[in-house]
Amino acid sequence: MLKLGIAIDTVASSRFRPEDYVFPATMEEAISILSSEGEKARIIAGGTMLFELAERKMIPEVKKLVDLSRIGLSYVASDPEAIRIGSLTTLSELTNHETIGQTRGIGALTDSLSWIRPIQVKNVATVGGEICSATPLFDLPPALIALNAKLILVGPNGSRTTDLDGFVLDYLLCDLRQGELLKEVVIPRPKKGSGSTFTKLERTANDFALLNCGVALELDKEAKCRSACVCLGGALGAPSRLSKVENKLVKTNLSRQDIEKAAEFASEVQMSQSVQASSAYKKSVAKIICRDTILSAKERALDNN
Amino acid sequence: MSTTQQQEERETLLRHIGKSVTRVDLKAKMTGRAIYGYDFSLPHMLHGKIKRSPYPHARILKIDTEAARTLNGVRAVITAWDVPNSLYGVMLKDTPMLARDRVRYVGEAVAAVAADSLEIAEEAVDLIKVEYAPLPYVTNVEKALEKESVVIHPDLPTYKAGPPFPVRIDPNRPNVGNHYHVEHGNVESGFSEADFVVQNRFETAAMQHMHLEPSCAVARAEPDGRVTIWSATQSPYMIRQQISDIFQISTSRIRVIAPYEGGGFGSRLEVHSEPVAVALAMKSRKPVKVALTREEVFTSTLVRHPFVVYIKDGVKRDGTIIARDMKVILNGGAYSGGFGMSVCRNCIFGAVSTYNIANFRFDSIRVFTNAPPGGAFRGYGSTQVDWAIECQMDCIANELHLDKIQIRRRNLLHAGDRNAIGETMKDVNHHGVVERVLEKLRLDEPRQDYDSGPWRRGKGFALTTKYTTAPTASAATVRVLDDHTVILFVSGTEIGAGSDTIYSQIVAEELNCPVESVIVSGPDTMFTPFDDGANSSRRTYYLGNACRMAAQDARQQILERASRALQVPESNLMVEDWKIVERNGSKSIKVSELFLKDQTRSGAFLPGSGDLIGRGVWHERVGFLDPVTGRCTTDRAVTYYTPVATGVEVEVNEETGFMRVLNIYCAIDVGKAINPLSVEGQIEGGVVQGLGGAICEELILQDGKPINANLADYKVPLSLGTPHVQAIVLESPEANGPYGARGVGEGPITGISPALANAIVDATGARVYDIPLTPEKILAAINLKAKQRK
Ligand SMILES: Cc1cc2nc3c(=O)[nH]c(=O)nc-3n(C[C@H](O)[C@H](O)[C@H](O)COP(=O)(O)OP(=O)(O)OC[C@H]3O[C@@H](n4cnc5c(N)ncnc54)[C@H](O)[C@@H]3O)c2cc1C
Repeated sequence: MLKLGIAIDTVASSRFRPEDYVFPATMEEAISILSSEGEKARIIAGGTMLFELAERKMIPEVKKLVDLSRIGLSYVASDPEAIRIGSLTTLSELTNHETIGQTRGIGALTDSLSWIRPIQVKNVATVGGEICSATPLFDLPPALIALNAKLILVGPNGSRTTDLDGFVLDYLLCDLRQGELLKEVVIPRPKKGSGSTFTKLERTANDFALLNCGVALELDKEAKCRSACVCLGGALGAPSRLSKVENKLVKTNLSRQDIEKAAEFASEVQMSQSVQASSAYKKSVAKIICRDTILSAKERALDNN
Repeated sequence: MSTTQQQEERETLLRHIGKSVTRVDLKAKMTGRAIYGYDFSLPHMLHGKIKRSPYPHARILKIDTEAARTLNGVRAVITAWDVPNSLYGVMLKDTPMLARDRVRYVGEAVAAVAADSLEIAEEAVDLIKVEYAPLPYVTNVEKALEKESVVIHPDLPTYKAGPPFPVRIDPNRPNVGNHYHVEHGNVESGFSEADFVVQNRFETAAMQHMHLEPSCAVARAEPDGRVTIWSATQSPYMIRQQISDIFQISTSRIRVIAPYEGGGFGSRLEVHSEPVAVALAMKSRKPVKVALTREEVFTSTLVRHPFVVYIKDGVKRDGTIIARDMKVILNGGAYSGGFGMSVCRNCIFGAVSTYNIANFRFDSIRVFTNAPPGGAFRGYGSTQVDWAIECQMDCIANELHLDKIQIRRRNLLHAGDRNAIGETMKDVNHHGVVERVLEKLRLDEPRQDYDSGPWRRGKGFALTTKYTTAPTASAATVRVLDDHTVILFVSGTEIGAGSDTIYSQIVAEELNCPVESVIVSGPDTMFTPFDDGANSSRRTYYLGNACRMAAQDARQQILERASRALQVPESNLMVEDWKIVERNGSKSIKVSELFLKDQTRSGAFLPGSGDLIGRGVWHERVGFLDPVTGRCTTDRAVTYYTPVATGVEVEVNEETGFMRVLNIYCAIDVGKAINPLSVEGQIEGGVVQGLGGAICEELILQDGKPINANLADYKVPLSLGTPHVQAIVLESPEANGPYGARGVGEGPITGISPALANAIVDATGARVYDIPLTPEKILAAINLKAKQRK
């Protein structure tokens, strides 16, 4: 299921040719277009994924593209509780933003940004696109899920807040309702004593993940694990938290054995076969990537005490 | 004087040869102004699009083009019934331009449309309805080899073939299109003398050429019945011949013009979109461009033949290989792939040119399947055979606990030896390349491994030999102009390898003028002379020689004219920077004075001062291999052999199977590096392309369909992850090469896969028998090894 490659006879010759391209001036206008046109209208942010999906007929036919670049959603703001990232912020803007560089405990986010290599893509690809593309291969979502990120979605019935964890339902499917758009990603400020890491297994030096993993840990004063969030991407249709692994970590000293034992459970997760690897192979390396990511997050948490 | 002194003396006399002259196409390419095939367009040009088969094997019941034809903006729709009912193929005529009653692979052309815009053409293609009756299919080459297999070409016995590549029909194996056999010594008695027998099976996957510029052609049907084709092809004359065969038009009435080519690597020796473009142009009476997409390049051009190689060696205790029995099975895909037929023969050269094995048998069998056709690919059969042989050499060394280099040295062919196909070997500098790589690889040093953790270090080595094919020919013409410029007419497409620069250097060397004086014409079969194409690392040698002779011919004519003008014997004259000067004298004349003058200028008329044209031709004749005995009819089957040694250093993760390639050393004896920087570029490029095939490149078929025919899912190495490649250039001259040069294009790709597999064994003890060496396969091998140890 994780195939990006699809059989040739399902690919028609004709390319993606939308009929209309609009720039709403306000959020309200954007929502009203999206609500009234249904599936025929689609948000375009950086367009780096949308064209791929549309050309390969992996999304319903789109007639109108709705460009959100004029409604002021490109920003990074911070307050004592959280870091707020506008959904139209590009990956390059995020990478270079000083708040992102200076906030302690969000190493998983900066890791995931640096694992996305092509600068040409990062200059246009947006945080909203990374999330709403709803592919299990992207790098930001597992990192953000580990950091317990929340989404602010705005639609015809007003705004709602939801956890990023659980927002992506399945391959190319997320819980975006009719007329809704993603406005903002909110990352709660990590507490003292927390550390996070993101790592990725990839076939070439610039590739979608075979598997990726985001981990955030919070240690108590005795350096025991108070809470753990472990998210694995690439296994199935959506990045998923590994609650068994998390439960095994909590309250331990996070010794190498503790971590190894907990990470074993990563290989119990169901995994789909992809073009790049069998599910058996993915299972055998899931525990390794999990273990290594947890080990690194622990080091960072210790440094943050 | 010693020979090295003589050589040094000669070199100091060379003005341009051996210098890293700036590429003549640099400015055009760096500024984006170079016109490639894909850039080319003409006024009122239509856009063509091809309808392709979604089935690996099916009968065509009906093609309904009505809706497409009536779509606004569509100018022509063609099916097999609108084009000549002929099969084409440079070696075996088995390929229809558009499938008539049967499709044999996913992506085969079935119909085509020309329309005012690409968008309309695409829409029209979707409107064409084809009814198929799917047939059983076979993509596994060993299944296709069975007597009971689905038959891909029931009419195979009736197909026509070129004389050097006869079809060998085998009633027990209906899908075998070509079979070569080599028998040397007595293999059975060899095995009975052996102390050990080492036997293995190796495999390679389907790899795509991945030239950056997808295949593309623009065709125009001229009002007088002639046809003009713009195609960034590796072989303009080959394209011309094929169009002539298909459409039954005399070759002189077909003009092929080749713009810059964005890479070819063998695929573009063959026609891809040219015939369809011509047919659409004829039907619509307008110029038509047929430009393939990347997906079409993957599914519908050519791949590197996947090989299955069985190798069985009888070895003496001291490491002497006394008998070798090899069987290689080529997955030929649905068609002959043009040059595919000769890959089946030429892979023999890779197997007989490094080691001297007294008793040797080799069977090479090309089998039709319902996969994308296999064709020429940089390395041309050698790469796949070398993959097996150089892994096997390490397997033998490991099994007998012998030194890996020693066992190779012990079995080397030497100058004067007869090889298994009866060639008398010239001196191939295997020792030299081995030495130079070992200096870098330092196998004698103690292993530097990690104390703990999952990463293990290893080193690997491979020794290979790349032939350059024959018989082939190249011609060159130079035209000296009265403004001290020389135009070089050659049909060698600048494919990216730097050949235009090399020809310019050679012409400038012989005319003793600046390189900037030379203008290289692009190939245009109406004006530029014959050339056998950019293949088999042959152009520096063949076209280089032709250019040299053409320039020498022109220089001679300049001297004759000057001699008449100055009244000085030719032998007393020399040319330098467009001036002819008298040796030990005072007379001189500019070359510009040796031409006709127009009526507004007062120059005197010099008899014999018309166009100044020099000609050169290089041709080499060799014997043919008898397909039954494998004996060459003379003592030479190829132009020359080029030795290559490859060394690698890697780290392998025993928990994940991931590999990091740290260093690659590749030494090749090029005879003479006419442009050292270009030679280095070719080595690095070849090694990295080889690295792709070694570690990640594979076109995967599922249910007969390619499932990764795009660059997201088909992995190629990227500059970011590419290790340091150290190019090591040796120069022991080739007797007949221009200034001693051989070719360099293919050698560097041949050794990298086995060197890496051997390094993985060195690091972990585990061997992978098929490329690409994916983390999954490496991990499986490591786990298997661990089980065996228990
Ligand atoms: C060559 C290449 C390499 C890449 N490598 C990596 C990599 O290594 N790691 C990685 O993680 N990713 C990688 N990517 C993916 C890239 O990061 C995504 O394509 C990008 O994040 C998508 O963002 P976009 O702004 O371009 O989205 P678009 O293509 O504009 O949109 C994608 C989808 O999201 C929807 N959408 C966008 N914004 C919103 C919003 N605010 N509200 C609701 N819906 C919205 C769109 O309607 C569409 O369905 C790569 C992409 C390319 C082309």
